[in-house]
Amino acid sequence: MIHPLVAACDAVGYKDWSYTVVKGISPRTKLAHVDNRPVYLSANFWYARDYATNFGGETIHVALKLSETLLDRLAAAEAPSPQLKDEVGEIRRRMIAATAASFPIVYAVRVDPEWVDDPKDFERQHAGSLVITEVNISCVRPVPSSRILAKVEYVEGAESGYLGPQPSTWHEARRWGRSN
Amino acid sequence: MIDICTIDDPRDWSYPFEQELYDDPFVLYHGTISSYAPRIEREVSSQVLFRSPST
Repeated sequence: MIHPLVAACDAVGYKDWSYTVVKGISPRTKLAHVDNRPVYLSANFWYARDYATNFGGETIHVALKLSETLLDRLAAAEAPSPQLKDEVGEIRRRMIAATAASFPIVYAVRVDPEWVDDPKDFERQHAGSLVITEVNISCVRPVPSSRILAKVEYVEGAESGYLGPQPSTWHEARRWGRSN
Repeated sequence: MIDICTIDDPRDWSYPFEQELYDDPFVLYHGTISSYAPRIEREVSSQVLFRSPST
């Protein structure tokens, strides 16, 4: 679905930020790449939770935005292409259908220090009752199945948002969000 | 075996896992959606995980 969408953008020369992200031009995202690529992990649970609330996951989330703005562009074009508009509309419907029944999930994964680019990514800086951790960590090695320790499923969805630095203790984390 | 927590309140922001995980600096988190879970967990078992979704 991604590649036909990119081709539709190319056909009309439409290249906004979401095109750049979806096509994988951005060296940090490479969302459209089909080969193994770095997976982005976070030392902050709530950052990952917020990420999970992107409808359809990151790739589809951005591709849906791209299809929406492309359809707007096609509708406003001086020389509209009904066929291209229909194709993009169908791609959009398929993306929505593929993820319509999904809900956010967050995995807890234990990694080895050498699996990330910078060992400093594991450092924790305490600031009062909070602890500052790296929110976006590129894991450059495959992760064995035994390293997925836990998964939380938000079966009715999850409010989106990022709460910032996390509490310094587990006991506070268990109550997080109720008073802040 | 993956421990699975199920939360049915969208406003539940609490940390859902055990203290052992919270205190471990090498435990990191990955957020996604359930549609990708079977594929992720299947590919994890073959140690090729986190391939981009086949879109």
